[in-house]
Amino acid sequence: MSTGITRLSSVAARVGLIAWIGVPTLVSLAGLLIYVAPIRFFQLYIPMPLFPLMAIFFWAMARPKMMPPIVVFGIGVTQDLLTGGPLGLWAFTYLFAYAVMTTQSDAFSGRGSGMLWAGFGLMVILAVFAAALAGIISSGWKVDWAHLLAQGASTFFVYPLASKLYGSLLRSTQQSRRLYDFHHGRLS
Amino acid sequence: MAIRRSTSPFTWLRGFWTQASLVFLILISVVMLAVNNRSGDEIAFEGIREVADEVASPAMQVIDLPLSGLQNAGKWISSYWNSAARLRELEKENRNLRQWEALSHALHGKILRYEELLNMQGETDINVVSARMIAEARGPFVRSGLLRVGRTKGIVVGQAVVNPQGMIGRIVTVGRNSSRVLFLNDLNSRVPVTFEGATSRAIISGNNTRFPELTYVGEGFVPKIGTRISTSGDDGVLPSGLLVGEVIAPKREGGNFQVKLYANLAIVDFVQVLSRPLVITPEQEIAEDNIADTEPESMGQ
Repeated sequence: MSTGITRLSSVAARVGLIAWIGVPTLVSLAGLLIYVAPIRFFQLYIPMPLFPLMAIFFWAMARPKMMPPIVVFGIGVTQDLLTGGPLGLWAFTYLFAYAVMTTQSDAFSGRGSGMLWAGFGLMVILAVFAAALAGIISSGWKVDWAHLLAQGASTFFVYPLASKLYGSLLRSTQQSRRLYDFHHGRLS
Repeated sequence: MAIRRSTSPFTWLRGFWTQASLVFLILISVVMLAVNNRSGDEIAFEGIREVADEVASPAMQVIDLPLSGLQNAGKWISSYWNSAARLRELEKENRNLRQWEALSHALHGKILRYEELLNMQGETDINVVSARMIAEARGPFVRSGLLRVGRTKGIVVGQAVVNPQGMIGRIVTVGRNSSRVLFLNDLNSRVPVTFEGATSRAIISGNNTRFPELTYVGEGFVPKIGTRISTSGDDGVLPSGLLVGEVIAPKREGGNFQVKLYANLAIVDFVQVLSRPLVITPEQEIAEDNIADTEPESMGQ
């Protein structure tokens, strides 16, 4: 009887772990759906912040294992498909920014939220640069600089709010990971 | 309670694998971009895009429901505050429109009589499919929208998409239950147009700004500022006479004339997809007849 309960609990722990790993991907995809949704404020169109970039940065800094390159690539390709743009453009943009930021993460992590925001600002600049570069590579796709910069600015200013949301999500899903570790004797 | 650190001898290998996959995926992205570049006028990865639109459109519809509710509430609140002024404005507009309505009825009757006298073969009937835009892409590279209607409703590539103000774009990808509209200001948009009161033709080319450019304007023809532009229907797919916009001055001296679109592409909500039956050319008819003639012979053998 107790073995059955233990096994059931172990299965629950595994499910919890999968959910824990899947949260960054799901949050990024949800952000992507909001990004392409036709949202306007008082009949005005505003450049939509790059929510997937925020999620990628947050998890690349907080839990890099939960945001591996293949997930970043998948998010980028999905964005390309949903927006109808040149395939590979956002995948390249996010991977490029991700590659630079993961190698420089020590400079920003653990030094307060202000420093992290500054780090995100740097990532936004890199992403804007990479997006423009990708636009030039797939020639014929001129870059709307005003739009790109406005989008970068809105992404930068919305990030503190988004990071609070991601932070609370991360804390609430930590329990699943602890349960999994407990079942596999990783907690002493 | 402390978390035991992983001391796996394969930790360095995992790090190497992550780095290698990162480089590999960046390379794949660059290859994809290059393929986009080489495909020219064709839409690269069209099949994948169709599938993605099909999968995304139900999710977008779910997201759009509360959003459209909120937006409608916002519209209602803003319209409530200036309702008295708006009412007076609409009454005045209505009086003017009634005069125009009477005139247009008279002119329409006259045109029908002339066409009858001349035995004129007029425009074929246009089918209309109404839809709501459920997703938009207004990034720095592409201006398009997703509609929740597709092949099942008779939507095909090339059909015109309009809203009450004028033309907004044309269909570029069609799935079973979804389709993608390329807006007139997208960089890849090219639409043949004609000028009011002139037979000259031109092409409206998108440039990712609010004001697309007029290219390939008929030789020797200089459009006047404010001239109305409508579709010419020369491509055989778009209906002719759809209002597009009016000519405005070039951005810089010697540059292409620009077009102020009648449709506000920043606010696209409900749209109509217009289709007209494709005109079969004599060459196609002959080819079809030849096939029909040869089929019974081959069957007989």
